Amino acid sequence: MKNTDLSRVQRTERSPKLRRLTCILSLPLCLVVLPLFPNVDYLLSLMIFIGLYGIAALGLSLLMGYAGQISLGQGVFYGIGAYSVGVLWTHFGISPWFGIICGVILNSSIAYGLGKPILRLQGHSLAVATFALNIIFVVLLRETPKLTGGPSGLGPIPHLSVGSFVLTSDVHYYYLVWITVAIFFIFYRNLVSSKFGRALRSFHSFSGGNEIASATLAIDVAKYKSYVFILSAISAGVAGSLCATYVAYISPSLFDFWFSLLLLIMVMTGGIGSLWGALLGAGIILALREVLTELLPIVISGPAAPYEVVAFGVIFLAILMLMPGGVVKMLMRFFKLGSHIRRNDPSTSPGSLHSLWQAGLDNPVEDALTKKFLPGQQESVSPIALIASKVSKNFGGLMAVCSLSMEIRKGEIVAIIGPNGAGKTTLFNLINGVLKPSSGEINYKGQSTTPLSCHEIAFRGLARTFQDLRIFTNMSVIENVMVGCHKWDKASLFAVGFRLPSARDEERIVFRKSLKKLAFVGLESVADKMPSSLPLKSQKLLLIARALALEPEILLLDEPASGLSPTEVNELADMIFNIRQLGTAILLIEHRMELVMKCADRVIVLNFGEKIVEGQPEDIRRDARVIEAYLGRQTDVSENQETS
Amino acid sequence: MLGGMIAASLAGVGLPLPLSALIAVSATSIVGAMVWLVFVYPRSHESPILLIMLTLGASVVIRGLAFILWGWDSKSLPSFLPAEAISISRITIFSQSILVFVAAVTTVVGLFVFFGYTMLGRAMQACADDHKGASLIGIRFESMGLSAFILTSALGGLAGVVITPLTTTAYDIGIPLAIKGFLSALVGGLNKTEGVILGGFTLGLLEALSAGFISSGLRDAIALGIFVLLLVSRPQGLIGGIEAGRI
Repeated sequence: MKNTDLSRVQRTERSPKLRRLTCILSLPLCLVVLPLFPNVDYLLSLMIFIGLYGIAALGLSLLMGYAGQISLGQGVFYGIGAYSVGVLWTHFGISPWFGIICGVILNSSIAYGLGKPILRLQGHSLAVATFALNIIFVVLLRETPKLTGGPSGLGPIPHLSVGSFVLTSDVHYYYLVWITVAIFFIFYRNLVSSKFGRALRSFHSFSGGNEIASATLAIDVAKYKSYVFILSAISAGVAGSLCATYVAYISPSLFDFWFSLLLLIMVMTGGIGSLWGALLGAGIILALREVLTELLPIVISGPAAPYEVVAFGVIFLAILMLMPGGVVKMLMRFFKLGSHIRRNDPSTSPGSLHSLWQAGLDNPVEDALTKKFLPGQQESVSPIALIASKVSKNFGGLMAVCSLSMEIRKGEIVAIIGPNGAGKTTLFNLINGVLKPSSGEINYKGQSTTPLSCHEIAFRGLARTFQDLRIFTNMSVIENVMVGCHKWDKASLFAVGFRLPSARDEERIVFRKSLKKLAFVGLESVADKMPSSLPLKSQKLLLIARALALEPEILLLDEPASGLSPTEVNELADMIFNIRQLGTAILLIEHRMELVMKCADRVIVLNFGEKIVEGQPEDIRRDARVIEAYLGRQTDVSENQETS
Repeated sequence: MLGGMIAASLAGVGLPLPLSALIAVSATSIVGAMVWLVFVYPRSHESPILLIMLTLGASVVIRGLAFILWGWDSKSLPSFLPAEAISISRITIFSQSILVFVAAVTTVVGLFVFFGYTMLGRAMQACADDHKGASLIGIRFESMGLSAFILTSALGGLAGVVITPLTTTAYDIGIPLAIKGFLSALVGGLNKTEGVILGGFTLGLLEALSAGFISSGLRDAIALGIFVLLLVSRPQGLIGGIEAGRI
């Protein structure tokens, strides 16, 4: 029944798909035949610059649109690319090809070194810091005349050559640059539609991701940010190197703040979050600049340069104000291509979902993959999965959790109850490493979790859900679960970017695995829907499926039953028992007593951060201290009645 | 930049100095208010990246307009006080430097009073902390944004006016100044007046020291480099405390 559903979807969407295909193919075709037309010299040189900026803009688009990091310092990497070609040639006579490679190596190491510290900054801090780096870079270029030629720069740098064939004409460079553009474009496009792109979207907060949720699914957010930063640096560097060999003379002013700003303007004009947008933005902005230089002298007498700047700024502001999503989004709305290009993910476009579905059936590779991880998980024979000893956490003067000790045995269901503000969620945050305890220690599988970060703890098989859901609203249901499978991913960045067989196999396996998890919670029929279209109960089940994708040993459920109807709570209870059948221990925060009483083997009651009682559900129900914590002391009530 | 340029041109056509300074500061506040009204307010719910780009775009346009109006040349103002320089034993200080110092101290004290003791200042802080929460207790997010923009551009204009007699001004000094100001505010701690002052003071000192002891050409690079390091090692600012938020 599911399969027929999908094939129906596929049939109805075939014609837009065809239209989309022609759209996508016609563009490269135009580019290939362009030099064959007569009198295109001017256009060719413009296209070369569009291509060069385009390469750098693609990198920035990846950084901004997918990883959510703003950079006003791409000029640094562009400059390093150009100067490594220039310096190596003028001082040592080394071939520009080698200069390009040196530039790539230099840029990736610099971006690696800078990335981790600087990407800890966010939003405007990051923008200002990268901007400052750009200023520093230009000053350094100017102040080291022996190496870089100082303010007057370096040159002439020869054109690139292959053997004895020198790329002298613009046509050669045109093809060289646009082939490079195509390589970067395809690489990045594959990346963003893969596990890599899913990981990026999962923590990109402005498009529906959440950094903490992402980390609890074993995604190393800092690592991914730094990857993207390195990639964007390499893009800018390669563009800079090519530019240096094309223009022959380089000087610091080419790489100053205005370059970085222009690049950012291109990406914003095209549309953040679209790789097409980066190229289109580069085209629009450079063409606009040309048009303005041509047109303004006709309208205005005298020097036109300042008017150009003003006109340029006004047009840019108009684009930002009138189309905040960029030109690409507007065009797509116009041509009604939207949903197909925007969600170009192989697993969400209905056709490939279908093919993945079939390919995923009865694939023996999956079990092999899972087994690789299993021995590590089953090593410890101790029946206790997690021990917290005298854990405290204070926020300033507020003691949120106070000297709390507890343990969870394997396959056990433990409920934590307590009035609002009792420290239940803080306890969860301590256990899975979102917060570090102020004192005390948590021991998971015989190892202290204090030195581990959140994603490392998740990797070791500790999963959680959130009270406030934190579903990735920018991804389909199945992709949400696929993010959870991240810990099993093995394929390298390179394999993913060039879509090598290993990466494709892995994608299929991950897809099937995720589908199984969805089937486990009964959501497989809505796998290709967006999560926001689901009812609350399904969203909560999706959260559980996503957490189960880690195949956890302990699952922390934060108020899974809140907002559900009594029948739904009963279904949830069955689900919790099913999860226990998998060998997973469950720690449950819940206010719905029917669920607690039905499921829990043991109940821990917290109040003001302290454990006040621990015991069987029936005992807890009758415990005077629990009743007091929830309802206040009996005498208080009678006293109040007397006074009133 | 705008403050200095306007004051210089007005003084150039013969207006008395205090009057032209006053007009310049009011004009910059009006420009700030316009930037907020036209660009920032209609898009205030979009991502901060877009807002940063909008204000940057606006500053590019203003810069271009300033160039059209005033051209390449840098402009200057006479010193505000009659005596050019004051000598105390062997140290000579420009009287204008003293004025700059006085203006800075007055501003700091003024901001302290404003944020600590006036309704508007407190409301503004509340709004910066959590604008949803602030609007729930009756603070208008819109008027706070507008007042903040007016206040910052007025202060920017004032800074431009008082510094012009010392350094002269030209159409292109704005952006480097803005970035230095922003960076020192970030390093000091964005929501703490004393932090911002500390940041600005440190940046100035670093610049002067590196110019004096290492190289005047590398001045900006060294000072900014140290500042980026400071920012990275303490993203919340030198003074700003760690925010205890709900995770």
